[in-house]
Amino acid sequence: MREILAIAKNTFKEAIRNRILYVILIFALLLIMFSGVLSELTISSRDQIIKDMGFAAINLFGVAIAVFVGVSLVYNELEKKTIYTIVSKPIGRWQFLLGKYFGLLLTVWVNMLVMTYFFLVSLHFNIEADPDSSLLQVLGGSLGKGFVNLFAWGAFEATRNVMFVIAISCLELAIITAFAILFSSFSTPTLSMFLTVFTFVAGRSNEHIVRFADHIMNNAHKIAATGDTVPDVPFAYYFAEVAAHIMPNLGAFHRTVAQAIYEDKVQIWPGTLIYGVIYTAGILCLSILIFNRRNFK
Amino acid sequence: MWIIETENLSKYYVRDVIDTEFGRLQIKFRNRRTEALKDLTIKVGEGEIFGLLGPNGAGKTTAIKILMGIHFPTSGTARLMGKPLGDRAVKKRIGFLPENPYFYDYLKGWEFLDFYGQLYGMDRKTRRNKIEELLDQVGLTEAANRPLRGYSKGMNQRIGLAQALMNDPDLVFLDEPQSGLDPFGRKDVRDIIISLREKGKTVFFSSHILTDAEMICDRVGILFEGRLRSIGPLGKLLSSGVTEWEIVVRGVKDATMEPWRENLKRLSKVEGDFWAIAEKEELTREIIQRVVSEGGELVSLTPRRESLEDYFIREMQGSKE
Repeated sequence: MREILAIAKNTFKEAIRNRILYVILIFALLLIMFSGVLSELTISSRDQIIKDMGFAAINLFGVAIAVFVGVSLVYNELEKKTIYTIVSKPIGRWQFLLGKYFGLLLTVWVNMLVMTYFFLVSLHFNIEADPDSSLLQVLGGSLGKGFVNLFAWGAFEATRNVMFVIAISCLELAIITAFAILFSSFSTPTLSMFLTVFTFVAGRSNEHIVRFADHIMNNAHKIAATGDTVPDVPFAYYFAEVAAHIMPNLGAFHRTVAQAIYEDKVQIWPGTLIYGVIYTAGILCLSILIFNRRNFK
Repeated sequence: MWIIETENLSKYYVRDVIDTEFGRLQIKFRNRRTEALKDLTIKVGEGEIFGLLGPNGAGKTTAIKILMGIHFPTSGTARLMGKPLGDRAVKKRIGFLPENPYFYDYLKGWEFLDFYGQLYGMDRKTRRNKIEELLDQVGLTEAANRPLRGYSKGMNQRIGLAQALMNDPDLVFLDEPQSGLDPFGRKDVRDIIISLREKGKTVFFSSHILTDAEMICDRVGILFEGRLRSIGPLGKLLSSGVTEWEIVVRGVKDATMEPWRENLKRLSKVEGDFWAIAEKEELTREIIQRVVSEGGELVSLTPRRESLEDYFIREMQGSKE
């Protein structure tokens, strides 16, 4: 455990020195801060727009951090041959990979926390602001409330679901980070980046893929019924079914975002959380299996 | 018990290659097999300094990579301290410095060593004491708080050596430890290796810098094109007798020395002195007698024995033929 922790700490130190991380973070923070301004230009509910943009920014930029920082972490160790001295030490390759994973996950989560703080400040500033107070007072109050909110999730009515949704997003990102490590353990950063983004998009569309498969099957049945024959199931059906079962069902996690914005109550089936943890563990096991068999060039 | 034991250790690399021939548009996908190491069998005893020597591409690094678990052998077996490769308890007693090491350049010198200390499971106090001792040993105490990206190549090599010694290992693998170092740096590394032997440690190192290997090795193995060509103590490998004589004489005419030119390995005149190298003892004696009889002066007479470099080149030429 101590060895995994040492590698995770070192990975975190390496990741936070990556300039791409700050570029992504600045973009995310600007988007979150300006969501209030943009909400003035819309006819929908103001807090819905701010929340919608805030959650989207935190989620997408969280994925961007996992992808852009994560895909090169293992690759760099191999390319720069720093792995040589690590492998010769009394640690298993699996410990190295888990250390890398937790270090990257910590980086992603810390950044999510920073983005969430600014999101909460933005929410308090735009929604709860007292019109009689000065701008400085409102800003000070929002900064304080945002900080309290990070620890006391239900302390304020307007933001009571935010931290819960962010926690679910953190689990979703744990899956994506595991994929970034998996792809990075056997391919180049560019290919890993492409594959991780593809997995994210396919994972978010998982329920659509299932619906697509059902649609294909229904059509096949309809065609068969007209000719009174056995339905000829097309290849696309099997492909969609297999894809839907292999790809992570990220939609199950993302559903909470819509609940937080448009409904009053955020709910998640406990099985979804267990699914997330097991799925992540499965991907990490696969990464370890591949990594254990590798000759480092 | 042998500290290092390998038996018929082999490694082949398979590369996918695409052969194209546009004359009749032929594209073939083939696997090309490169034989990096073939049937390496060596045994290294406790407290020995063993040098694995050979030109670039001979398979030295491949052998070390296999022993360190970086590569898996294609066939053959290897044991370290009597245990199969990868044994965690054995790894705790091993230190390793790779060739041209590149480390985490964002870490400061002491942070870097502290990280490796943690990988060995050392507690904070032991780590701190060991880091101070090693930084002093490799002469980097002043640079301890500087990030590694500001280190020169020599400093990098020295901090790499320090990480290899972090766990006070019983067996140290050094892959080309003197490569890229200036004479002072090479001497420092040499001194550290010798001090390890004095402490009873076993050192296995690869090198193509033969003069250094000659100074410190108890035994050497010579690798060429992946095969072990010879192995043994330097005393046995090198010819024990004198192979040539270096003669420097003064105060004789050109006509006195010229008749011997054809029989000498080398004859040159530097600032009035003749400098000659003879390969036969009789010829040397004849030259000296003639010079003395003609009133000349014998400045120096140096017998030369075969160096590791001479032996190495002889072996390499033999292998090529």
